[in-house]
Amino acid sequence: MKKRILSVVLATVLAVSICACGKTSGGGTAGSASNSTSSSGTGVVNLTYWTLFTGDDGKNMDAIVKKFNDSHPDIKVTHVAMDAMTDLYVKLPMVAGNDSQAPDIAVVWSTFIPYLVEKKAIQPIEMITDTEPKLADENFTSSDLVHYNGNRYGAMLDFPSVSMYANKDLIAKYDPDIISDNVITWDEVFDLASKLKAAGVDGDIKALASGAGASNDIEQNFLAAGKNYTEDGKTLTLTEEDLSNAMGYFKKLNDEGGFMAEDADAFGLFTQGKAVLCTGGTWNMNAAKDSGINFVELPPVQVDASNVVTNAVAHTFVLPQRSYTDEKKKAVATFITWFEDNAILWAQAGSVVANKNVSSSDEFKKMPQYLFSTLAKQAVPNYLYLSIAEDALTNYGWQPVYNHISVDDYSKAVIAKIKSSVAAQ
Amino acid sequence: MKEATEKRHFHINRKYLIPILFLLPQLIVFSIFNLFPDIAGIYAAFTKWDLGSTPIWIGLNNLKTILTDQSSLFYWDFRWGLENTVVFVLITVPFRILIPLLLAVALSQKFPGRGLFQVIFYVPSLLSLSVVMISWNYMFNPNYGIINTYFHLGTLSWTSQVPYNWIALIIITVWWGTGVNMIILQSALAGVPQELLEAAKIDGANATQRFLHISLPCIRFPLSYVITVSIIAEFNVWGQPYMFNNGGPIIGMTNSYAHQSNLMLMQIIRDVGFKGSFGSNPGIASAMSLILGGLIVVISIIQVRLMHENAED
Amino acid sequence: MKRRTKEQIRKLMLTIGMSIVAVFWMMPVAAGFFTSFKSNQEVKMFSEYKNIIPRTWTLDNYQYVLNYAALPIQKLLLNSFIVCIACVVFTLVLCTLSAYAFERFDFPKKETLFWILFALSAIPNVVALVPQYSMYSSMGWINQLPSIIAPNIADVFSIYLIRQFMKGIPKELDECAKIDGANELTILRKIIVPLLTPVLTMVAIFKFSDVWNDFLWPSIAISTPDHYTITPALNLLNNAYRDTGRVERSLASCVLAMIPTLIIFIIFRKRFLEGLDITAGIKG
Repeated sequence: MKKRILSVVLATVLAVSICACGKTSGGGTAGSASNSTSSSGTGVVNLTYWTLFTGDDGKNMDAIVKKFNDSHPDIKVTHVAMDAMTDLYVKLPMVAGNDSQAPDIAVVWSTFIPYLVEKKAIQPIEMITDTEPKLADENFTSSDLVHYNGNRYGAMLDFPSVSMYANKDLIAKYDPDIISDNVITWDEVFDLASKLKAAGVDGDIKALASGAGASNDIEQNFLAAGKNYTEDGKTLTLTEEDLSNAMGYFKKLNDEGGFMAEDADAFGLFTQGKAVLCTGGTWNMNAAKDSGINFVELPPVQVDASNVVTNAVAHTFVLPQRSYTDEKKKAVATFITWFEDNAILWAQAGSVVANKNVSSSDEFKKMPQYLFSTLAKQAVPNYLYLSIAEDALTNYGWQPVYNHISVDDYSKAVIAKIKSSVAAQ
Repeated sequence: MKEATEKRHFHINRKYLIPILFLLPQLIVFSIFNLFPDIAGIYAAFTKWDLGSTPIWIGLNNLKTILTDQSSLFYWDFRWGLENTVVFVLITVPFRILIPLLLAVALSQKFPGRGLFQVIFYVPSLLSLSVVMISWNYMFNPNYGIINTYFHLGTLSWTSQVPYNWIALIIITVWWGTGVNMIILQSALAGVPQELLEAAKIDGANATQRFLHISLPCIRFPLSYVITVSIIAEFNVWGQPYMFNNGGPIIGMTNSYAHQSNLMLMQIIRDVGFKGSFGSNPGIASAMSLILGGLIVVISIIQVRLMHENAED
Repeated sequence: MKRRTKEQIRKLMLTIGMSIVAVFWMMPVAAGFFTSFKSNQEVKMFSEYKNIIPRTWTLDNYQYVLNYAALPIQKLLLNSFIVCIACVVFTLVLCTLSAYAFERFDFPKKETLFWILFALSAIPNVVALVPQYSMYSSMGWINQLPSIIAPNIADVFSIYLIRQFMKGIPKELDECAKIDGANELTILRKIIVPLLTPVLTMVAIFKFSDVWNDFLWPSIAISTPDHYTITPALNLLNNAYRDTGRVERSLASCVLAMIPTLIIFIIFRKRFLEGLDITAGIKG
């Protein structure tokens, strides 16, 4: 009996291995979408489409891709979502130039264009955008974000931005004034915290929780103060003082009992009604809607009420480094153009779309993120070594807030880490 | 005379041919798929490499940086990472031997429910890292986790307070690794000759004495194997600390570099070697792995030698 | 009579003691299992309700995970199975052959060779990762299942385990067979392998679960979902949930990932543990 099982198993394994080894590139088991440049014999052009939209965003993109495929029988787009830092940005340089492994379209953060260009992982997108008047630069907000070294590399989808979700009921109960102009400053947050303390609820309800994460929130603070990592894109000009100031607000808030507890689940607190304000991103819109809280999406806490900014990057289509047949070029152009035309579908996930035609449409005006998009200007942390910087910020997280390290030592450590890692390049 | 020597020479060769033929399949596969990449990786330790382009030979520079250059972040990362890893090994390995041993002894006897217990204690070892960490992160969650709630610990944060993060990591690691060791030790104990134990019983030895003087020496080789494998496994730890608290709270500063409480060397190697952007330095990562690997190999050899010194192999 | 009762009491104490330890031992898995059927609100209210078992059972989390279009669960499970079974088969064949060579024959520097191989296996996997990628890339195996099978099959630790067990098989059996005219391969096949069943099952179970749970290399080597194996794919899913704190969804995906290894273990456990018992002389 055992022998029989063994031989059956062996046979299966051999059979499958032979199938898998047989096809040289992109094949694998039957029914998979291959990376090969040839069509599958019935005139259908196959496009592989890599993005960083995991999670709820991913579901939305899947639905949009399905809609495209259904309405375009001669093109089949396969959407592959992967983690940005550990997967997408590792694999794009690795598969560059390899037609059987490189995808046909990818979506990356605009801030990574310099990196990908340096690594020769992407090529200019002009050969696609020049053929489609709808994709011209004028049709996009902040179109300079996808230009580098004189070439255009991207067609933007949206601006994932740091935003803040505010619990309207709690605000109405404890501090209704702060929301009157739809912009909340740090002074108003400190005020809210003391009002919560006066009402005796500050143990249970916190003024602010950080759902966007330390890296995003600290960047937000120094961007709002008018600082940035760099002036020329390459050299670090951010000082320890800038960082200390940025982190200082949070430390002060925590000292006054208004910030979330260490390791708290920020969004959990918000959905339970235990946090009045919760930073997050336009990408959290679905979760916020599901939460049942009566909320409004506002710009994150501002340093200066007259200069309302939001820490944002752009999601952009890029062309991986590979060769394209004419068929493929047409298919890619069709997909990107269709997407931009139908970007309202993407906006349903909460995004602030980049396409001006859509962002000025009536439908967009009805979306919950519309208010936010009119209030805040995008401030983009445009640093060539952004990933190193954000790593350092994420690594040290909120430790100075909870007194593991002093704020000044924290700033020293972050800057030292960034400089050290950059120098080792 | 000449013919006799020739015949003997031929006879010896043929004798060795057969075992070598049996060894060949595994050796070939090992050489191509395991040894060759390892050697290439070791070579990388002496290069400056960019993950896409070709490596540039820089000799001992990487090693010099890691081992001597106190102004470099890599030096301190390596040193603190290694310290943390060594402490981790020194604490977890004994638990990972003693607890499975005790369980194996208990399970060697027949009592109601024994089979079920064997399964229960082994199951954690079947789980993948993600499953283990998600479950335990949930257990240790300060807001709605089981441990804080049932033991009335309020909102104690296991991930960011110094003795607790180590305690948690040790619990998780021992829980995860006990099953395998237990099974091996149990099968080893099963191989202890019953007659010896019976004879000792008749001679008046109690259970503890029988265990210490008869069972233990008999299982000496599997025990040594279990110790070696556990040491190797714990030196390679990265998943638990990473997914638990990403290196842990900062406990000090030197030269503006921050020292984190439970940041392990392998985690640093992964971080330095595999980043999808600027910041990755596979040359340094390989150099660190080289030292770590060398250390593991040396310790394993010493440990094995110690336990085998009285026996012929 | 008195002695027997004492014996019975001792065994009862053992059962009770073990049960207490076992309850704590199983807690993380049990908690994870039950929580995967809870709704998000119930999870967050745990500090008040203090219930492990859900008040209202829901299948929402499983529905979400199974319908996560980017990751076709059925394909993932199939891939994992194919890879694991292939690894087990190849490992058993290659390592048994080698263990036989080391244990039943003598040749110069035999032990030195073995310990060199053992030492080489102790080199951390990280060292090899990047060169491996280049190598498989040029072989055309990237994004194909063989690339995650090949690194796992020439396993020196398995050779060690099998060797140890083989030591317990008397050499006289070999000699009898030789007298009957059998060659070395036949001896291995017909006499030794059948007696190796317990350790082979053990190696098979270890290898199956190791490869099933392997995540670092597969996540690098494979880039399209239909070739993914389950563990790296679930890790992708979990990264997606961590931001919004939906631990119950993560736990649902964990349960799904656990099931196959558990089933395999339960199926083969009986034979494996019987093997242990027979060697010890304890009758079932």
